[in-house]
Amino acid sequence: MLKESKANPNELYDAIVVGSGISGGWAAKELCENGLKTLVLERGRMVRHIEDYPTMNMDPWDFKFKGQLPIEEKKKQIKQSRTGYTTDEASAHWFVNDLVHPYNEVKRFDWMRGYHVGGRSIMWGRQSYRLSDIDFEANKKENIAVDWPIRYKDIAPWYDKVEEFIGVSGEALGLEVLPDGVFSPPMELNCAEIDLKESMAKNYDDGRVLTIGRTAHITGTKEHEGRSNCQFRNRCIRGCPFGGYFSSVSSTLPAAEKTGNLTLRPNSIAHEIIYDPETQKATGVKVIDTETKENLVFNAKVIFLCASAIATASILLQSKSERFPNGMGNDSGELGCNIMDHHFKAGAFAKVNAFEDKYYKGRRPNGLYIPRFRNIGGKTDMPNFKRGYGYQGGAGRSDYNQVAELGYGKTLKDYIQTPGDWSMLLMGFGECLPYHENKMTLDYEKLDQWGLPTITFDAEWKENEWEMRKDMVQQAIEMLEKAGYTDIRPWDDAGAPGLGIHEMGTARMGHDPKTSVCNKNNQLHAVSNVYCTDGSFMTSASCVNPSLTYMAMSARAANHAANQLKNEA
Amino acid sequence: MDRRKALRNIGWGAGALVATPTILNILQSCKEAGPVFSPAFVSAGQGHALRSMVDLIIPNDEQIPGAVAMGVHEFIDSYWNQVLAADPNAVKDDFMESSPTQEQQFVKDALAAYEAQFKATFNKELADGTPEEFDQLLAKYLKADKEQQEAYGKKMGEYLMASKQDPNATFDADAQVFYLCLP
Repeated sequence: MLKESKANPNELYDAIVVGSGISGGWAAKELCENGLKTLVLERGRMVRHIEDYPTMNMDPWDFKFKGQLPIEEKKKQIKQSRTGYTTDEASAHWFVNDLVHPYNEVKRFDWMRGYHVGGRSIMWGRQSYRLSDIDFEANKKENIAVDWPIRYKDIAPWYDKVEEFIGVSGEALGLEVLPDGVFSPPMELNCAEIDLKESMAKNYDDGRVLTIGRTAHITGTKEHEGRSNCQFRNRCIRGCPFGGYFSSVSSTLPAAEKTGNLTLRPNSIAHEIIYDPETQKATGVKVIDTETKENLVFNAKVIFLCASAIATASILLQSKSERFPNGMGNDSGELGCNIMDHHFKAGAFAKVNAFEDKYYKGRRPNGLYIPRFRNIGGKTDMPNFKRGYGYQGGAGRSDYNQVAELGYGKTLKDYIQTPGDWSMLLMGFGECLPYHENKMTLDYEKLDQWGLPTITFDAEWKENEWEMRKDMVQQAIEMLEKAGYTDIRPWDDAGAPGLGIHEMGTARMGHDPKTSVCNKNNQLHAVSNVYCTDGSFMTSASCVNPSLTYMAMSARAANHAANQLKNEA
Repeated sequence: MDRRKALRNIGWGAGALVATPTILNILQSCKEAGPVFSPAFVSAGQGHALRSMVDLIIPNDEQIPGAVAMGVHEFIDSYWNQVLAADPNAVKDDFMESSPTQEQQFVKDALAAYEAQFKATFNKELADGTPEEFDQLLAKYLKADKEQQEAYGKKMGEYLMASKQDPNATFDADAQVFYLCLP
């Protein structure tokens, strides 16, 4: 049972980890398992696995308004509701109150946050893909932004380690663009998805394939302590009583606690790192206790920032000193710049017109995946945009909502008890380029209730993203047409950066301290005992979902830090 | 055969009831004994119409209870009351387009249009409406042909565009009622 603690300000910890989400959980586990006394600071409330998932077993009829919240509640989450799916009664408690946690937008930016132990690892999409050397080499090849200081071989063993521990189900494909991992048995494609897969194999010779999503759910016979196999309930966003999918609270934090080295302190807003000019190192973290309103300082030999890309950059920007007038580690001026996300919600729907005698079992919490097939050489290269995109999506049978004819009484009642048509959705997830001018800044005029500056976003999609989106729509239409599907409806709803909930790039890695914030080990170039291992370190975005990479890099950096401390001792 | 099942079966042979006033009384008393619907958002007359309409849209049958048994009319009333915004600016997001269909006023106007339509057609108050009368009006909208449906859709579109310029834009009454009735 995960325990919370008030922690002791007079104790010198070996390590402090700021944030308990997908990165913080991994940093904590690895640091603790290396024998380091580790304090995890979490700004939000305590959450214990199973015990604190209030909606995990609720059925549709248990929700008062079919899952919708009353208007008085909706008013508190106007920005959080921009996703359209997160602020239902089933999951609204995992997303922040926008009135209490405001931010500012020069341009629309959808900043989706979960302030609680486990962070967004509780509500994440669970799609787990490796970056490839095509990703790591792209910036250098195209002379865009700066080169990644690492290559696939540097991270590959850490991907192995993470996948083995969290459990990732998927199918090995042997593709260069999407390296295979350590997989438990894949979930099944349904008959319509297999139909599309076969059609693509027949109609395309540019290497594009269709597979089942690679997802962090347990499917095999391998044991994962305290967790059991996915039950196909598809209620993941509420927290899973089976621990069927990976989260910090079901996995990494309990593993860290088991070592006896973990101190977990919720309700603790870390807002500044303290710098010692003598040693040129960080000595501790300034914290506000949200319950007692006390200002506290916790000291440690090494500090991991895993607060999410935006919050990590905000903490560093607030950490001003004589040495760092523009924020700790910001000699390059890149801190808070180069914000990236994935642009998505572009593709097409179609009616399948077959398999009327077929159905599927369970509620598979996963969909199909079509790995990137653009700009990977030869005929795949595109003249009008760089990088690429993958498709997520899937097929299912609709309900009566799809029917064209109206009716009521017995007609309607019969109809709603009959499965509707098969339909298919393909939705692209595209890479966004790193642009220096896509940035966040701090507003010291508008303070939050803790007296801390609020964040202002100024970021947008640009020409490369817009051009890519056209192709995302066109190719979806073409693949669905070639499969013989009808009623094809193109879809392009760009939203705004942030909506992918993959914000990254605010403290990018690079070789050169003049143009980047972190080095190849995730250390600040200028302060070697501060590591950034959430999305902030990303030098480019790739088109794949990033969480697996944050976990692998957090594990890698934590072991680097542990070795450094051992060598110093 | 247990009593509930017997009653249910009798209920299905509704034609036979005419000759058996005792049983008719039993059924009527059941109806009276059911929880009284006191709407919070709509008026009593509108509540009667709402209850009658959901019963027509999803009626009871032998296997599966209908909308009234499930309290759908109560659900809709409380949903309009607590989920829809009273003030169109209550959940206004400067960066997002918000739809006026989410507002209580839109529903109120549509209900008023429906009520007026009912009075004009049957020359009586909503509260005195019979299932046959509600059915007749519902059929006008929910059995509309495709062309008519599209015409309603077009009017809705025009209204949405107009209401962006002028919050007091008026909406075609028939189209308004159509969207109110849509299950």
